[in-house]
Amino acid sequence: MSTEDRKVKLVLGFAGDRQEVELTIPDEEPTPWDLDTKFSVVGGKHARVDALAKVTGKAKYTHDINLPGMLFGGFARCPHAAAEIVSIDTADALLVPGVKAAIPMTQDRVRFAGQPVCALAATTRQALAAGIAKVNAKYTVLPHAARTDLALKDSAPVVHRNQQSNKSGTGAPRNGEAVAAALQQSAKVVRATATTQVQTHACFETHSTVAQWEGDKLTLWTSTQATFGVRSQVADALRIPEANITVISDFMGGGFGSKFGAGYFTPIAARLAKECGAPVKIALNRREEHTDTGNRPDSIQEMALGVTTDGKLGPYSVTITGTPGIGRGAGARNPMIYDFPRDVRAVEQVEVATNAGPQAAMRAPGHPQGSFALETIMDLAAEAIGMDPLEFRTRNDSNSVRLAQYADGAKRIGWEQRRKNGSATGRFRRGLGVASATWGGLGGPQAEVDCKIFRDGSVQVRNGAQDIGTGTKTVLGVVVAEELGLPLEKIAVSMGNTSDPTGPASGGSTTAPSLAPAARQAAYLAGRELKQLAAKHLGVSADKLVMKAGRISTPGSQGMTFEEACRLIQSGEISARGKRRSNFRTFKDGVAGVQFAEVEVDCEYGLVRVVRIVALQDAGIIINRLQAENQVNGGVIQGLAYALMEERVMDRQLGHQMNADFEMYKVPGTKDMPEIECVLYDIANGGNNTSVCGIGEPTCIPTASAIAGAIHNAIGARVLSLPMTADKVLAALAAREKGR
Amino acid sequence: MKNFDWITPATSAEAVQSAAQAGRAFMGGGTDLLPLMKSGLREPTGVVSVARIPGMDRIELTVGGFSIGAGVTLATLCTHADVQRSLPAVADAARLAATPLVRNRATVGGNLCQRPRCWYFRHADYNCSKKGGEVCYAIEGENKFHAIFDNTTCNIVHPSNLAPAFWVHDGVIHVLGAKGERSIKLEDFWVRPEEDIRTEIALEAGELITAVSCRPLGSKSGSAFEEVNEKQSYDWGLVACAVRLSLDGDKAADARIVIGAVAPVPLRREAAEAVLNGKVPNEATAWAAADAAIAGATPLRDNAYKVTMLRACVKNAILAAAARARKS
Repeated sequence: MSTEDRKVKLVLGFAGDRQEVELTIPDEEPTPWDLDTKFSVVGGKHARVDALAKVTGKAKYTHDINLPGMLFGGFARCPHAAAEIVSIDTADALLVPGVKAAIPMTQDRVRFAGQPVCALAATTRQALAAGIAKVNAKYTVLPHAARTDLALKDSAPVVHRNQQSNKSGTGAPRNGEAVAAALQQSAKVVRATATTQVQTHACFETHSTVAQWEGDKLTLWTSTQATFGVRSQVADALRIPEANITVISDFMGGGFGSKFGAGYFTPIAARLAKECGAPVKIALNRREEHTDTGNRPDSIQEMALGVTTDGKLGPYSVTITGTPGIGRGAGARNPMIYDFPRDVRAVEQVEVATNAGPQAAMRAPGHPQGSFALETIMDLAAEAIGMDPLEFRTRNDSNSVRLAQYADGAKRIGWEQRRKNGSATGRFRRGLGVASATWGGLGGPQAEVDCKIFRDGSVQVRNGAQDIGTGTKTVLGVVVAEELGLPLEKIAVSMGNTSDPTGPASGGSTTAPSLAPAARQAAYLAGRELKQLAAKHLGVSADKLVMKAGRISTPGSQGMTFEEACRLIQSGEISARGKRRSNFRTFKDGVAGVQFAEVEVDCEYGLVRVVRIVALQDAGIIINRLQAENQVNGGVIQGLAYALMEERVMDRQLGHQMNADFEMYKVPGTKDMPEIECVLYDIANGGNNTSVCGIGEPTCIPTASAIAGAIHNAIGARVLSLPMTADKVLAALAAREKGR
Repeated sequence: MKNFDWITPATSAEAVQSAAQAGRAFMGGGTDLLPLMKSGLREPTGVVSVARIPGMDRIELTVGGFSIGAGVTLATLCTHADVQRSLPAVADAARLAATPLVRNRATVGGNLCQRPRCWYFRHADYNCSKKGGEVCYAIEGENKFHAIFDNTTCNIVHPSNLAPAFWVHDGVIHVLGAKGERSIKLEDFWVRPEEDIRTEIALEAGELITAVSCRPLGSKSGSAFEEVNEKQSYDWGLVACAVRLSLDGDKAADARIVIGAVAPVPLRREAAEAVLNGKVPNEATAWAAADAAIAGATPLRDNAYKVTMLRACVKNAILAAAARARKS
């Protein structure tokens, strides 16, 4: 402990579970907020700082960037799901008026339909399209397997060269036999196979980059979840210094995990711009967005679960098979929740290569698919032992936050009115379901934020990472406003330019919990300097001064206004940099969530209407309640879409995606929306000086599972496959009738 | 999309004249033509805009019945009081289509002329039989949304939801072409794939739909249109059914049942009408008529559910039409 360190006592947790902790923190760190902190700005409902710019169209997204003399870039793509490239001749394309460059992509084999083979740049979109049509690519067409079911067949063509089979994976778990033996000893064994579909990210703003050179300096406007990641990847790809690259992402129209990297299109936009001596914009079209920017892998999850008659989880085995397309990493997380005995748990992951676009991280990677299967076997096990599915969960979940959420949510959804599975009659049948979620989202270094206080009393907060639409700018504004005792509108927040201090990629729900503590520390340090000036002027000791409601004063005195204090700044500005420290002790490792669903099934048509979702979620200390509710709503809506509609359909014949659009790739609209009741749990989770946790991902995890449980409750039959479309519901109803 | 001339004629005669030039296409709201052009399925050199031609957006009662201009938008159609009262199935069908934004643009004429949504037809890399190729890819391929009747040659379903509604109201399509005016009954408007796989409708090149006339409901009559969608906002029908019937005492008479979204063209189900006529329309008789309506279905690997769904859809459309007839 250095002389500058100090000891602080904090209360972590929530009203139902208070934990006192003592910490040693360094001089530059403000005392962390805790459960007993009284806030002025934090926790209120604040419109986003950029709301007006967004709704009036003033906000400029990458698609909106148009530079003088800018060219349009795009790709010729292979129409075959698997082929050897014999030759790519760009001569005719280059003769098309307006086409300025054509760069064949360096590869000899195409492994999915729609893979790019040549990049072009042209003066207009029409010229670009005409040029693409004139690229003369010759292929030797190869057999393909564009679907998981086809790629698993013994006779399937092998997708990757140098491999014997499309299958790879963890191999049979070492304790497989022990678990099988334990299952035989179980009082009750439930077996089920659940399947989930490939979901595409379906970002509203398609992947896009504008590249502009000025000498050897490169500026990239790009729709990305990682401005700094793009900078280093492009530097690597082009072999130019990172110092020469500026990446800008002022506004971003959705990423969901598909926009972590520079992709192939950003380096190529820079290469085309270099070759043409003009800025180049590449903005993928909707088909390209669906087929070639990533997706959530599908899954086939074969489960066996043993339970005791009094409803305790026992041995569990699961084999998870899924496709990452031509990419890597298709695993689902199952189980990731509930108290499964560790010694009798066997999980095998099998990855199946297919001739389809590579997977990419997607909102809570591995969790929604794992959740659908896991909650299915939980519901089936509860049914098998004649136990209420909520009771069954509470008996097997030791997380104190979720236990509170189960009880709270049950009251809100009216769980005590829930009828026995399948006891509803008539055309329209209602049912209730429940499912849970866990997520990390604690954040950490590297993250740095600058806070500047100017002589006119204005305040600026700067960080170079991106606000991907989740509202990070507003989060930083609220945190700084709280620290400096100012209203939010006094804080100008700037993000999304790599000239500013470093920040994280937006993944794992870590952006806010990484940046908010750095922003708070920056404001604390800048405020401390301002206090020094005020103290001198007021003739008091600086450590007695507090900044509150626009004033700097000792308790009980008038002091001076923030603006008056700022006029004491001698020259320039006060500028301080806050740095994100490693996490200290947390209340829980991550965040907890539970969702309840009420559905109404039209048994004549097999249609499911989600009537209501009650979403209970913790996200540490809530910084901006309105934004947190937005996040929950967004997660629930995407979860509902996953439950009932979204599905990439691959043709078994030629291997194309048949629904690479927004007509047949179905996402819900306004009339498909349920009533969403969002219940936020303010938990002082600790870990960082703001107690912020991420909330971007966990809320999309349990929705489909809760809906599945509600359908089961309504019709007395389990739909084991996502999306739970009318054809599957009708089949489940018919099977139930037949079984009677 | 390729560049094209934009032509805005003042009259329908002028429109027909300008469309006589090869490579030109009529456009109402453009909600189907523009996507076809974007995907390269149509590449007109000139687009003749007809929605704004004076008179094309008129709805009027004439001696021949109810006349609806081809330029009337779906939004107007579903909110028009006379249409709601006299052609309720038509108002239903217009209301259930697409989204408010699309309904504000899409026109009656365009709705009848729109091309199928079959994803093989719409995909540039599939040269299916409808586009001159050898194969109907839906037969072996991804056929969840395809036809369950008359589907040996081509498995599209006709996407117009106004068509079954117009048909049960004895719709007549009025057409203007280079050779002058002609009228086509709804039942004669359809071209089956076996007759000409390249088209779905009996318009000749350069012919323009100017209006559709319909028979308004008489006394003790009702009509209804029912469609089933996976999504309630903006989706194409999985199955659809329009029903018109009159009541003779409490018994159904003169029933007309037309199903949509299940075959390459809309289908009238006369056997189902015969089952219903002379009986009190209720759950039991409506189900019996629905059974007759689905007779002969030939579903593909992935769309047998549509048969179950259609049966319920016909039943519900009958009951809705009967309820309106009783109230009238």
